[in-house]
Amino acid sequence: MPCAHDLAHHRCVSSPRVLPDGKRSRALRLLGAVVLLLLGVGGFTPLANGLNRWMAGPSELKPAQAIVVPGRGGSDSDEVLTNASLRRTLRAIALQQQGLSPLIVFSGENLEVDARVQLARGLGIAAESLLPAYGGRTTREEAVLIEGLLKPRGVQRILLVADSIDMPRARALFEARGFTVLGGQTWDGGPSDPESRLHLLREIAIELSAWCYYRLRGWI
Amino acid sequence: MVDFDTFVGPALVAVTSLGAWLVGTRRLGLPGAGLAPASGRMLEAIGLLLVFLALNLGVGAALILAWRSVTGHFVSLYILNDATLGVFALVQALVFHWWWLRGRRTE
Repeated sequence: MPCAHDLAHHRCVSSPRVLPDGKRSRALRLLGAVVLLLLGVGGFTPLANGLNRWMAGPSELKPAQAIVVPGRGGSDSDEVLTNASLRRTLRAIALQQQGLSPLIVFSGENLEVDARVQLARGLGIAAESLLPAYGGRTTREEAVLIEGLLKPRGVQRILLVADSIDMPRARALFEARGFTVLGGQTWDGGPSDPESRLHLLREIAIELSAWCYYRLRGWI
Repeated sequence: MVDFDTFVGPALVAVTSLGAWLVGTRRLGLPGAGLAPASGRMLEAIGLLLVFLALNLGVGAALILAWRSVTGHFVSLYILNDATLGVFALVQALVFHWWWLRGRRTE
């Protein structure tokens, strides 16, 4: 007898056991529906962009004692900075050249820091205006390192240059270490095609997980 | 902002889905009433995909954190940020889903 409750109706038997366990099945369907809804809303509306902007907080391009540029993705095998790292570096250089701060702190992996310093020097930033912070492997380690470099110099107010997506955790880490943080986001607009929006949504989920982890560890 | 280009993909999917509906009902003789249960199955599979993805990420993160604390050797959590993990979770979900359905049928 054909079974209207299943795709493989030719093979199914007319027993209530044909369907998976009701509660589990309903829970999975609900979960699946939520995923699909999230994909639809996330990909085809500006939800991810708005969420990203909201999480990043306000951009405050005002004078600070130092411009702090955390690492982002290091450098490629040919020692050229990754797209995101390059974007931050150029943004920091431009802000320094606008006179917003006398000092730029570059942190991240050693190769990344070297490539950033080299680029800044090439674009006319004086060596004494650059402070490399080597050895930070995580955002927290970077914050600890930078604190060790800036506190002895009496630096209290920093202009943090990072992508909007990385801003909440980085900002919270520096604020927890007593810095007054001004936001210098590299990019505010956000992507406009579905695939990039979904990618951003994934990054938001990762960042939220990391934020929760840092919070649980009492680091922020 | 949302623009016309954004909806090209969904429009294509709508057109090909309509085509599949016509082929299914007219050529293959599938009952139209079977579409709703099929959609339910699809939602179950996607739900399972999320479960497997969460499991893979959770176990991966726990192993990395344990590895860091036991050996002192740094491994970045960002290695879990890999789309292939999603593809593997999809395969796991589909296999488990079919296994589950088949198990229920043979009980």
